[in-house]
Amino acid sequence: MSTGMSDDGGFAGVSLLELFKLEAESHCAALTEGLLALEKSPGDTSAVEPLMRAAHSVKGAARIVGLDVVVTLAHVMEECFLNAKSGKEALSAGRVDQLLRAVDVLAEIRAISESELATWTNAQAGRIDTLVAELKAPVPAVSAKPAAAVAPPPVSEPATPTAANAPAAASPAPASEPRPSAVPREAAPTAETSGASVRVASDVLNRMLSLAGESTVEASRMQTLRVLSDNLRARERAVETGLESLRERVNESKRKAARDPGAREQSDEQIDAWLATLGAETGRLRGAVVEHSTRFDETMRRVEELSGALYTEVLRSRMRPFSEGASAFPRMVRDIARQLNKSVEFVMIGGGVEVDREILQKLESPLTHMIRNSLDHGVEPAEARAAKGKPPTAIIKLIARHQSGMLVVEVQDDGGGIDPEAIRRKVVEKKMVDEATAAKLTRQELMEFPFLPGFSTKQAVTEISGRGVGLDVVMSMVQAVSGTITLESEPGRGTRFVMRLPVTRSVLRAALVRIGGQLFAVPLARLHRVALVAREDVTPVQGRQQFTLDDQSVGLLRASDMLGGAEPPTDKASLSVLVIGGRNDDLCGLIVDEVCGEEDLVIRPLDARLGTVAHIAAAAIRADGVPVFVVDVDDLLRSVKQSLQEGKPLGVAAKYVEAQNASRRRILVVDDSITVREVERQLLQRRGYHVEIAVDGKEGLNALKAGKFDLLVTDVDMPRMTGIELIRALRKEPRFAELPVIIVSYKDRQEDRLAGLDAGANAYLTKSSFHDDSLIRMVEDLIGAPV
Amino acid sequence: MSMPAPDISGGAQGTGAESANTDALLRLLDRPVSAADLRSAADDAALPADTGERGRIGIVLFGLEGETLALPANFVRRVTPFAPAVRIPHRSSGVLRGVCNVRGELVLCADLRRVLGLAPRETEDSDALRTMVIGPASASWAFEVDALHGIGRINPDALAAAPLTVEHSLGAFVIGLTEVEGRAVTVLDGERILAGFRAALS
Repeated sequence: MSTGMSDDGGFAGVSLLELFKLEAESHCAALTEGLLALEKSPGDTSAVEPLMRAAHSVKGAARIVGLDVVVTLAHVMEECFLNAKSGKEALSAGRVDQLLRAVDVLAEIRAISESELATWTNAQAGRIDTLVAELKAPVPAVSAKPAAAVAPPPVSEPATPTAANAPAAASPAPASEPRPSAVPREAAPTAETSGASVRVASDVLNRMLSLAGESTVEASRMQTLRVLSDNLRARERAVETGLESLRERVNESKRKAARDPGAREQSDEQIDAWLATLGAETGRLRGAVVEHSTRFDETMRRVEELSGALYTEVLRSRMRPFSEGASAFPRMVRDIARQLNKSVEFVMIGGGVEVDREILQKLESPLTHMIRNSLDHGVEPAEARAAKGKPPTAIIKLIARHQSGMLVVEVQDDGGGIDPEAIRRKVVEKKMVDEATAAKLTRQELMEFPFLPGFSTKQAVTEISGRGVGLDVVMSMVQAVSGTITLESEPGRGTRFVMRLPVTRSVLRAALVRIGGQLFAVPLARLHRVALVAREDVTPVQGRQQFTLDDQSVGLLRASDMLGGAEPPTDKASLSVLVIGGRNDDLCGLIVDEVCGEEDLVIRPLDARLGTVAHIAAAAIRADGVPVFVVDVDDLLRSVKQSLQEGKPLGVAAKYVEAQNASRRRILVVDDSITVREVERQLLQRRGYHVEIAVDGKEGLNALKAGKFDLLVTDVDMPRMTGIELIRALRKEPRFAELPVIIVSYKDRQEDRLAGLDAGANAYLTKSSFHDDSLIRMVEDLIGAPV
Repeated sequence: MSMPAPDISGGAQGTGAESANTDALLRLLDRPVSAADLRSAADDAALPADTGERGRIGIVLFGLEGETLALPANFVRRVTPFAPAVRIPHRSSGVLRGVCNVRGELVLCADLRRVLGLAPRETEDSDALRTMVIGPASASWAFEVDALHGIGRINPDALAAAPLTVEHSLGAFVIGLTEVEGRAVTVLDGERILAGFRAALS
């Protein structure tokens, strides 16, 4: 293996088969669920449609990855559903059985590695052929109830259609023509989204149960409080009545005394007696109030404790050990290493680290790609290692740990590493940056480029990594869970991918600080120190402000310069300073308005639509309900250091992409299959076009309305809004009347073509156009070169 | 068959009846779509055209800068007491206000005034302020309105076209004009508003 990843394009990681498997997985789940539901209510033709779509998508995706047996199987499945939908053949239990077995075959493929695939296909050919034959044949009469199978066609129409009601039945149809299946389609997502199940460790569940039990008991204790309150109210009423009657009697005795002064003394005595009674009653009331408030405090404390404990347990139930998500890797490394004739040891560190199950799930595929990548392009064969004086067995390490409220996952290898100079050459070669700029790029900046789309131009197809989809896909997967990924490499010594992921909804201890008038949370673990610095202690050194902390010079910067907002108040004698950095870094000081205290915050990921927000790691909701952003200290530190060095602009790579995208021709790709989307995106992006994607017609339409595009490439069969509906909708709007549109579909019958062109498409291609350059040619015909 | 529109925007905020009204309305708006709702919508769509009931849609009426605006009810996820937006560093701009806390969920918050090009005016009654959440669960948006005016039912096919005098920027978001209980109402296009909000992200 050569040391330069750029030469052999070693960064292309995600194989198409991997994508196919991901896609098959979701479709298998939908198929199984839908089939089981259909079995219960066979007459529901609206439920057949999603199944048809799923089978169709599997067929298309399988065709792209060249799994012919699956294409055939999915095709007959689709036929079955088609027949069921058109009412030609009701789905009997026997048929559902066969279809479920077909789903099983699809499910099996998901578990088979690329290397085993050919063997598996050969071994299963007979079984699949039988299954296909069965699905093609009429339903076996044995398993189906004869009565049901021979049942006359559904009698949904009135038995005696008369001239009078015939037009009434027909008239709604044309009116609702533009949205023929609106109701069933809207009903479908509710069925799909419900019913996700998770595994919870039984001891966690037990603790949750017992806490829930205690809560119930606690709730019943509130009954006592209720009795006490009633008591309180009764005493209060007694005092009130007493007071009222006292007032009356005092008035009465005053009147009596006026008439008969002799009665005065007697009445005074009486008043004293009444006062004493009232006093006693008031005393009892006070006692009751005290008792009530004591009991109330106790109850409140217990309820608080209980709900806190319950919350913690529920939170824990979301957590799984990291090893659970990594269980497949040892086997994968072993198999692939053998196949490549390399000697590789796989080491996992931190298998017990608790990870949010949601994150764990989403980590699996990026990790798979990175590990495969290390195996294929990172580590060298034993002889090559020996020649370099390295131990013959290479080590790939997977490390998980918690660091400052983040989950950090690393994939390390001790292979050939990446030569930054090779990246620098390639960046220039690909005209991403001009030579002068490239020469100035630091090592760290260079390491950002492999993550950019279009950087990796892998031509050769290797069996392990497959046809590359590139590190940019891994990056977008990581970003989808609000994480970041960085690449470090020592040429000759190895490569290290570091992913930093939010531990979603985990609790973070944070300092609350006011910056530019707005509250922010700073993870306590990332704070080196909070300092109050007297203004006279701040001195300029070499043109920048600094102060001295423990004999160390700490550069000072206003936090509001980074995070925006008003400038900190200048009237205070001393400055509130957050000192960050340390360890291997220089210390930096951020001047904030004030430090307001600390709080436990439940961390939530930022809205995915925001992408990454500079200097912000996550968001949280404070106890008083006000949202607060959690500062990304590492990112802030980077910017601060750059700023203090009066250095270069931030994110050269990102800026380059923005500038280039602005001038490139923009294409929107709409397809509900991730496999097809990726292939199209790749093809067009490699050509130099800027490509954005949407997953169905509806999303496509919105993207078109919100953005500016030069061309639309769309599929036909999609949920929510089909390609044909999308094009019709577009052509109605003057803005899009002239927008070039290419349909790329599996359907290659003449009537499908005509329907597409009739709706207003400029061209109709079949998905086989991926294999030659007809898609690219058509795009260039319609909108010209990328730039 | 317009429903009585409970006016919860009035100044007298404290009366029990009004807050009960508010609660009832909020419960109604928060209610998940049931199978029965879907069926009744399907029945509604299947009615012959001449009864005048076919195709009537529910709308939520709200006030913004002196205008009475409305959005189709199926777009509105919920209406809650005013939830202030917190600025997102480097991102908040004219339209994108920030994020706000709507019942424990953080929702992106936009400024509908800016999208519609309405000139800001002095708010008379800050107690009447509401936060409305629209759009699909995974991509919802919150925005502030001056007051909630209740709900109504309209026939979208019978809407009057927006007059030319409507400001251009607002006109692009209008489906049409109608009248609900004597009040002139401008009915907005939810999809286009969502697209306008989304544009603020880039």
